Amino acid sequence: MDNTFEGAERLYRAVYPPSHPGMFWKKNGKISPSAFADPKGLSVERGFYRKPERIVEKMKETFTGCIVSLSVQDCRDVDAIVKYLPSRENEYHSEIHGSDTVALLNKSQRFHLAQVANEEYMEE
Amino acid sequence: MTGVIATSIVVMGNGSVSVGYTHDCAEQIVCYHNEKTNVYASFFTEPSISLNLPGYSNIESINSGVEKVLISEEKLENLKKLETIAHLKDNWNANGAKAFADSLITKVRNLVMFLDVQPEIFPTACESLQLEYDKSDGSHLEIEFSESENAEVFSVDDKGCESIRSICSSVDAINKVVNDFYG
Repeated sequence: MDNTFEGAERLYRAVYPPSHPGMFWKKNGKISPSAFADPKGLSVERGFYRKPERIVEKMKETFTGCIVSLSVQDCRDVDAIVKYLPSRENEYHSEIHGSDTVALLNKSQRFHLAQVANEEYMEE
Repeated sequence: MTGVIATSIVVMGNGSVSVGYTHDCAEQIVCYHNEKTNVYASFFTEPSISLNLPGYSNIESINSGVEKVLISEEKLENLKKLETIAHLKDNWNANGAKAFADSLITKVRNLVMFLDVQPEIFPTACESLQLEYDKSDGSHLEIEFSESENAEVFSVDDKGCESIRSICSSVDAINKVVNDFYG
C-alpha cells in the first residue's frame, strides 16, 4: 500500500461529534458541506480493495458517529488531493486536502463533495 | 415538532438561551420575568411564541422599551441547536477542533432571532458557524461566521454558477443576502 490511489477507491469519513448524529445532516437528507471543513485536512480511512461492510465494522471499533464515503475520483473532480498518511495505529489512514499546499478544502470543494457523499453508517 | 403544545425560552444573564417544550398543557399564557435580564417567556397553544426582549427591535414596541419578537418553531429549533453546539468541548471532532467562543454563539444567536427566513445551522472545525439555505432547484447559500466582523457568503445558483464574497455580519446585510437568494 502506497500513495497510489485508483479513482474508484473509496474513502471513508467518520462524521463527529458522537451522540449528535443529526448535527451535520440537513432537512433534505444531505450532509452539510460544513462537515468537510477541517483546517488540518480531512482524515479518512482508505478502502484499498476491502469490502465496505468490513471497513465500516472496523471503523466502528475505533470511531463513534456516522460514516460517509467518497471516491478518490470525486476528490479529483474538484481538484482535491488525496494523501496516503498511515499512522502507527492505522495503516489505512489518509487525508483529503484542498491542494498540495493547503489542507483545508475550499467552499466549492466542500459543497461538491457533500453532494456526492454516500451514507455508509448512520448512528441512531 | 409534532405534539408540542407549549414552548418555553429562558435567556440567561450570560446570554445563553434555554429552550424547553411542554406537552399537554391547557390553553394558558404564562409570563416569566427574570429580574437580571428582563426576559419574558410566553406559552401559547399556537405553533409560535413571543419573546419580549429589551434592546432588540423586530416588530412592535409593546411597552417601555420592551420589543416583541415572534419565535417560530424553526427558530426555536435553531436556538436549541446553537445550545448543543455551544456545549461542544475542545476536540469535538476528534481532530483537535476547538470549542466555540461564547461571543460567536451569541452573535449567531442574535442573528437567528431576527432573520426573516430561518437557516439550518452547522458547526465547522474552523471555529466558525455556518448558516445554510437550499432550494429545491439545487440552489445553495451558505454564510459562514467567525469572530471576524465579516461573514463569508458562498452561493451556487440553479445553473451551478458559484460565487463567494465577504459581507458585514449585520442582521440587515444577512437578511438582504437571504432575500436576494429567494428572489
